[in-house]
Amino acid sequence: MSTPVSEFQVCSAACVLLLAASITPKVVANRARDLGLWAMTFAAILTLAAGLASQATASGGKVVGEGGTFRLMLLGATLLQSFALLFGLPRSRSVPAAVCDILFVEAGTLLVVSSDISALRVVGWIIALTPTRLTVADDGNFCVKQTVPLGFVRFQYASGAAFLAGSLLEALGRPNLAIGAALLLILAGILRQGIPPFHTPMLRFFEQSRLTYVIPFVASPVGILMIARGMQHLTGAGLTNVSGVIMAFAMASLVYLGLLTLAQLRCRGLLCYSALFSWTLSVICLAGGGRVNQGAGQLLVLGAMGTTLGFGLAVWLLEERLGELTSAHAGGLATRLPVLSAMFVLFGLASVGLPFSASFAGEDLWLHGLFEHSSAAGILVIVGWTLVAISIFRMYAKVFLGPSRDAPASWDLCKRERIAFAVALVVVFGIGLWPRLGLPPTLHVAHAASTAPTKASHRSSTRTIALEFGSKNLEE
Amino acid sequence: MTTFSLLDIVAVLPILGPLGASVVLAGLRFAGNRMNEREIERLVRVVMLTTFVAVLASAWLGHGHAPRRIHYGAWFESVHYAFDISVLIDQLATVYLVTAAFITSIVGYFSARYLHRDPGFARFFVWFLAFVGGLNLLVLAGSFNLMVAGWEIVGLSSVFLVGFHSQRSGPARNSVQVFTAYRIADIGLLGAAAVIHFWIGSDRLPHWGAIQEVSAGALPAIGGFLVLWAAMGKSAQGPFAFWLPRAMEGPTPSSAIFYGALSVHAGAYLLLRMAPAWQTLAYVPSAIITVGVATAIYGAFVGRTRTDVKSMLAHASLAQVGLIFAEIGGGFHNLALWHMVGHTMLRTLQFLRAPSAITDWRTFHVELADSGTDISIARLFLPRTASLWLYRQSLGGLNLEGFLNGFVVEPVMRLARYLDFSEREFAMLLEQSRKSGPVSGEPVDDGALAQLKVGDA
Repeated sequence: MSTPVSEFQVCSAACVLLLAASITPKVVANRARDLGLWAMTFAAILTLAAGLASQATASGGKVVGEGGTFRLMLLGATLLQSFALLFGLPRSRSVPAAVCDILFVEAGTLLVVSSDISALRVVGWIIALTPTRLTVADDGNFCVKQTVPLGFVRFQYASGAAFLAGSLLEALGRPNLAIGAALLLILAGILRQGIPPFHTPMLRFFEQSRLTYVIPFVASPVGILMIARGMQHLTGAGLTNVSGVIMAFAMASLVYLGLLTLAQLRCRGLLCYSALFSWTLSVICLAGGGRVNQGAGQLLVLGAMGTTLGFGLAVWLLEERLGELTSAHAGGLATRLPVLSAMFVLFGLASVGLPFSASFAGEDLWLHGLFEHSSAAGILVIVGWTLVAISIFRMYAKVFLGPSRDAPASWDLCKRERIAFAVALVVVFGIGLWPRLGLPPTLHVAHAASTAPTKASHRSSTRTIALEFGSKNLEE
Repeated sequence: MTTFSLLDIVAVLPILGPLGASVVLAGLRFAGNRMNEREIERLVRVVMLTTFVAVLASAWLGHGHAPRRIHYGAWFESVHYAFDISVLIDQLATVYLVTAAFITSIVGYFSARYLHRDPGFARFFVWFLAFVGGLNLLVLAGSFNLMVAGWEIVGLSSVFLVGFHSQRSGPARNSVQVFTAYRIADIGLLGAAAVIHFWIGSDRLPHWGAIQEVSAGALPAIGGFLVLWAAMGKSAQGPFAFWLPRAMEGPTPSSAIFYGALSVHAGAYLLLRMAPAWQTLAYVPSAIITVGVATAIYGAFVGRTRTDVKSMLAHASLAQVGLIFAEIGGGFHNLALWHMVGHTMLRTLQFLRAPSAITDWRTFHVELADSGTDISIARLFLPRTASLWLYRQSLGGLNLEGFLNGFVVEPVMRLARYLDFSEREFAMLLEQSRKSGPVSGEPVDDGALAQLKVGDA
C-alpha cells in the first residue's frame, strides 16, 4: 500500500463492501443494524489503514489540504459519523431502509473522498445520490409524507450533470479547458451542498424526506471538496477574481441565512439553515485562498460534519419520540428529556462557535484573517453568526423550557443513543481541543518561521510601537 | 524540555479546577451516573477551597513583582497568528480574582443549603462551576482570544441559570432575552479581538497601568468602540439595561453572583483591562462616560418605582455600574477598581438576604421606631405634575423595552418572516412539474408517482 493506486483499491473495496451491505438489509431485516455496523467496521479498518499508509509515504491526496492528514481526518470523521447514525437508529420497522440510506451515502462519500481518479469520484457521487432517485421511485417508503421534494431532486441531478461534465473536462487535461472544468466543479459542489443561491429546495428536502437520509446527506462534505478542488484550479489559472466574487456573495448570504434561521418554527427548518450556514462559511474560507483560510476551512469542514451530525441526531431522536414538532406546540421537554435537551443545545451552539468546539477554532482563525481584508465584512459575518445562535437558543427555549404541554409519554436517551452522541462529541470537541489535527502541518512550520519582529513590519511605525503593548516592566 | 515554576502551575488551577469539575459532573449525568447531593456538595467544597487557596497563592507569589505573563504555548497557529495560551498576573487581575474567589466560595457554600432537595441541584452546580472557571479564565487571560473563551463561558452559564426554573414560562422567555443581549454584545468582542489583533499585531492583553501610544485613525476608534459595545452588553449599560432585571428569574444565589457581583462587572473589567488601548483617544472615554451616566440615571429612576426587592437591587446595580463606567471613562481607574470591589461585596450580601427582605425591613424599622415613610426627592425639586410624569415614565422603565421591540426586534422579525415566506413560495415554484404535475407539499397518489417515474424523474 505504498502508492495512491493501491490506496484507492483498498478504499474502493471498502466502498463495495458498504454497497453490498446496503442492498441486503431488507433481506435480513432483523439484523440490519448489526450488518450495517459490521460493514462499517470493516470499511473503517480498511480505509484508515489505507489512509495511514498513504500518509506514511506522503502520497496522500491533495483534496483540500497539504498531504494526506486532512483526508485521513475526513475519512475518520465520515466513518465515525456513520457509526453514530447506525447506533442512533431506533428499533422500528423502518430500520432496514434507514440502514440502506446511511450506507449508500457513506459509501459514496468514502469513494469521493478517498479516490484520486475522476471517474471513480463520479461513481461515488452517483452512489451518494441513489436514495434521491429512490425518493422519487419508491412507493413512499423513502418519504415522510408521501410527497416528493422535486425541486431538490432536479437540483441534485443538475449537480450530478455538472460534476460529470467538470470531471470529463478535468480528465482531458487541456489547459484551455481547466477553467471550464473548475467552474463546473464549483457549480456541482454548490448545487450538491445547497450553498446560496441554490439553497431554496433544501428546506423542502429537509421537511419532506426521512432524516435517516437527510442527515448523512447533509453532513457529507463531498460538495465542499469539489468546490475546493475547483478553487484550486482557479487559483492555479490565476483567476482569483472569480474566487473573490464567490466569497463576497457567500459572505452576504450569511446574514440572509441567519435571517431565514430566525423565522423557522420547526426544528427541521432550523437544522436545515444552520447546516447550510456552516457549509457556506466553509466555502468562504476555501474561496479566500491562502494557507490560513485553508486551515480555517479544514477546521470548519470537520466542525460542520460533527455539529450537523449531532444536531441532526438530536432533532431526529426528538421527532422519533414526539413526532414533528413546531415551537408553538412544544415546551417543557427539558424535565422529561434532560440529556436530549442538553445535546440539542450543545450541538446547536457548537455549530456557531461554542468555546472549545472545532468551529470555535476554525472561526477564530478565519476571522483574524478576514479582518485584515475588511472590517465591515468581518462584522457582517459575525452578525450572521449571532442571528443563527439566537435562533438556536430561541428554539431550545421554546421546545424544551417553559410549562409542559400535553405530549405523548417519552423517555430520555437510552445507552445506545448516548453512545451515538458520544461519538459526535468526540468529533466536535476532540478537534476543538486539539485543532492541530485538522490543520495543515505546514501552517505550524510557517508560523515558527515568521518571527515576532517581522510580523508587523509592513505596518506603520506607530503600529510597531503598539506591537510592544505594555511590555515595559513585564516579567515573562 | 519545558519546566514550569510553582506559580505557573498554581496560576491555572483556578481555571482548570472548576471547569474540570463542571465537565465531570455533566459527563456523569450524561453517562447516567448521578451523584447524590452530599457527594456533589463535597466536590464543590473541595474545588472551591482549592480554587481559593490557588488564588491566594498566586496573589502571594506574584506580590511585589512586576506584572507577570506566563506562557503555556500556542493552542494552534497559522502564518501570522497564534492562539496564545497565557496567563497575565497583575494588580487588576489579582484584586478581581481574590474578590471573585472569596465571593464564589461563600455563594457555593450558601447554594448547597439553599437548593437542598431541589430537583435541579446537580444542574445548578454544573453551571455554577462552569461560571467560576470561565470567570477565572476571563480574568487571568493573557491574550484576547482566551478572554473571549472565558467571556463566552460566563455568558452561557449565566443564561442557563436564568432559565434554571424551566417549568415556568417567565424564565424561559427571559433566558432568550438575556442570551440575545449577550450575543449582540459579543459582536463587539469578537470584532474587537480581530481588529485589535490587526491593529497591534498581537493578541496579548496589556497589563494594568501600561502606557500606550495610540495612532490616530479609524482602526483604534473601531477597536475602542467595539470593546465598549461588548462591555455595555455584559454590564447591562445603555440600551442593554433591559436584561438585568429580567435575569432575576434565576435562583437567588445565581442572581447574587452573576448580576449583583461578578458577571455584571465583567464589562467594567474589560474596559479597565483594555484601558491602555483607548485612554488616549478623546472620543472613546467620552462615550464611556456618557453611557455610564445615562445608565446610572436610568437605574436610579426606574429602581425607585420597583415593588420587588430583586428588581430594586438589579436597578441599583445598574446605577452603580454606570458610575463605575463613568469613573473608568474619567481616567479614575484605581477608584473604579475599588468601587467595583466594594459594590460586589455589598450587592452579594443584599442579594443573599433578599429572600428575607420583608423580615429585615420590619426589624430595621421597629428597631429605629420609624414609620417607614420615604421622602421623595423629586417632589422637593419638581412641580407635582412633572414628578408624577417622571414617576409614570419610570414605572414603565422609561419605555426602553418598547423602543427596542418597536424599532429593532419587530422589524428584524418581520423581515425574517417575509424572507422565509418568499423562499417557500420560490421553492413551490421550483417544484412545479412541466406537465402541470403534482406540486410538492400535496399528497402524491400512486398514479402521480407512476407519472413521475416516467416523466420528470
